Amino acid sequence: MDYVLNFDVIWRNLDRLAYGLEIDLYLAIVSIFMGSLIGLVTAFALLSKHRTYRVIANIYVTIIRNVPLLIIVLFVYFGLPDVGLTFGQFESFIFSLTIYAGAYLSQVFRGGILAIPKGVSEAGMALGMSNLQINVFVILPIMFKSVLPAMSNNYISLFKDASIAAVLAVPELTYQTRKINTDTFRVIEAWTAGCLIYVATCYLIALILRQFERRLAIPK
Amino acid sequence: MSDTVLQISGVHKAYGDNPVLHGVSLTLNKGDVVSVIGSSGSGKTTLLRCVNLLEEFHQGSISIEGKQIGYEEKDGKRGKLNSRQIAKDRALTGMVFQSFNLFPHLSAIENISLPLRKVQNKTKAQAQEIANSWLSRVGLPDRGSAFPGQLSGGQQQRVAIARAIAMNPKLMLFDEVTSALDPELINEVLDVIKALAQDGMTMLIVTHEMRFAYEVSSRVIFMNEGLIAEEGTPEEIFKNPKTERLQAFLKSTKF
Amino acid sequence: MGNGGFLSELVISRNDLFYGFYITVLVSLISIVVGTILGVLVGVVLTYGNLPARFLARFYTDVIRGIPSLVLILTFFYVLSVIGINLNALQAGIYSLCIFCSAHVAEMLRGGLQNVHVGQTEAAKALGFSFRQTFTFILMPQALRQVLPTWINTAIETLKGSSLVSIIGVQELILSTQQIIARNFLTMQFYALAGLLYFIACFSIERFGKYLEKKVAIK
Repeated sequence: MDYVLNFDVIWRNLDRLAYGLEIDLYLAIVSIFMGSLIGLVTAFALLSKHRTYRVIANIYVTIIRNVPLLIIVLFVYFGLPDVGLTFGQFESFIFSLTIYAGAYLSQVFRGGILAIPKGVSEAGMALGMSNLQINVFVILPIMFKSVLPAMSNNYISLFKDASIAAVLAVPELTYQTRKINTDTFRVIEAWTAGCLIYVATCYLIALILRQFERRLAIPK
Repeated sequence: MSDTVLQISGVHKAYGDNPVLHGVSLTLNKGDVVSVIGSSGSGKTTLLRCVNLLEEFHQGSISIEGKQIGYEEKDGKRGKLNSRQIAKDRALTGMVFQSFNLFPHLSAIENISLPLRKVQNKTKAQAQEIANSWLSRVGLPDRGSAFPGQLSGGQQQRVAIARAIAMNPKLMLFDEVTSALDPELINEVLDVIKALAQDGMTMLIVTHEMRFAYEVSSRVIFMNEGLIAEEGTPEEIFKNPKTERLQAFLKSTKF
Repeated sequence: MGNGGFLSELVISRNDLFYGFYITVLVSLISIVVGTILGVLVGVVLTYGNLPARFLARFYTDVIRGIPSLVLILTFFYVLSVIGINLNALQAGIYSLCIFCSAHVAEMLRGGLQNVHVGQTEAAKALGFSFRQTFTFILMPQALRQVLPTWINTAIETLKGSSLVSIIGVQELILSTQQIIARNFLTMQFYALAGLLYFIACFSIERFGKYLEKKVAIK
């Protein structure tokens, strides 16, 4: 094997990799934020008394969770233009990842809401609070604190899923790594760097989220 | 041939810097039924768990029918025996736990027959027969195919007793076996233990049930702060407590 | 365009679609089976190994789980050929998915084993079981039942992950679909169809999982 490791290439291209990571984080954060909102609404819909809401939410969640993200991305970017809905790569991917995130996060939120003892909302009712007040001031805060661990897991997964944007030639980290690979032929260095950055970022995100959990945990 | 089943000599144990047993010595002969009473933290459960090596102890020795278990003296240094030997030592005793610890994925009869087959290498037929006979003796002859989740607490504990004793141990260890039971289920378990005692099983029983200890034991020991504070017949311990601590303890249990 | 066009195109392309779907299922099945076996081994080391072994296993699972599946697949594809291991795209894809699956299985098994009540091990010890016996007859049966839902999830994720091997040129469902679309431009319909096929596959695994759960449930 005549391959001599030369990591200089990586140091020289660090800015491209950093830019790629930035894009990934941006994609992830936007999609996670909007996905969380959708997930929350969907969770309440899944648990609603009205059958229609439950059915629609169930269809949404079941379909999205059983289809690869790649298909959703390809369908939205390449397929939807057929009916006149054209997006740029960025917006298209964020849209796809948001829908994807919403379906997954709805399960986390649903679990969190169900885990709240019935007595808590009954107490709210006995105090004369409206349904909306109970949901916002009682259910949500409790649920939020208890689902943090599961949510953190999902958030990290969704950050990793942002790598699929590379398929649409969005210049995120995976795309950059592949480009450095093909530009410089430094295969091992490029992919080692890429993987390392992903692992380190996921680890850092996990660390930060765990700090959040600790701060926000309901004192026992 | 000596009648001694269990010989505990000068056993010390500490959890890190926290001493729990301060030199306990105790002898059980064949057929002895010894109850161990005392408040929580007195070390009684720890002592019991040392006998079947679920806990390590750093000083002293424990022998079952003359064979020292768990540790050996090699060139003047104390060393732990290997896991195979420890497993063998454990098979000399049978233990029943406070939380039953039945294997939930196995039926009652399988709970009893599996150890017979895997540890004692009995055939399926032999194990089945032994298991069935012990199930009957604990009063559950037709509940063999039930799973622990389908049995009441009292029934589960009786299966647990059958499981331990079917292995034909030299000594039976009971660790507060009724503390996790609803009151109305306690007697069915105590009755089984009494019957086993009458059949001559050597037993070491840690219990909170004072009346039961009074009725079933040949001897009672009272433990306090890691030592045996008082030892005697049930009459002596319960009706004539000598030490102040025992008197205070009995008062608090309202026996 | 219109439904008539789609249906006739569907008939024309059915072989390519079947083949693509077949490759998808094949890749997924192999990856799930091998990945699970490997994952169980790593999981056991992760739970019961000595310190250096546990460290290695922990390193393995953390690194693999910290890398997106797409990056894992691409890394396998590019790096292995350079260091002299010549794999075709199909092999690289399967190997990377196996490793992906194994890391998740290892972690879930560790959780499952550690979740078994300590009293179970104590009872087994008290009865004289060796560690091997305790593990085989008492711990694993309970741990496996506990992680079954999570394992089904990982199986489904692996199946979905197989879609990414299209990017390195494996002739699975997505690549086949894209080739069909390149011919007839019925983009939305055929991507939707591919989605439907994935849905059927994943949903079947989910159903199978529910059936398994019922069958092995502890009464």
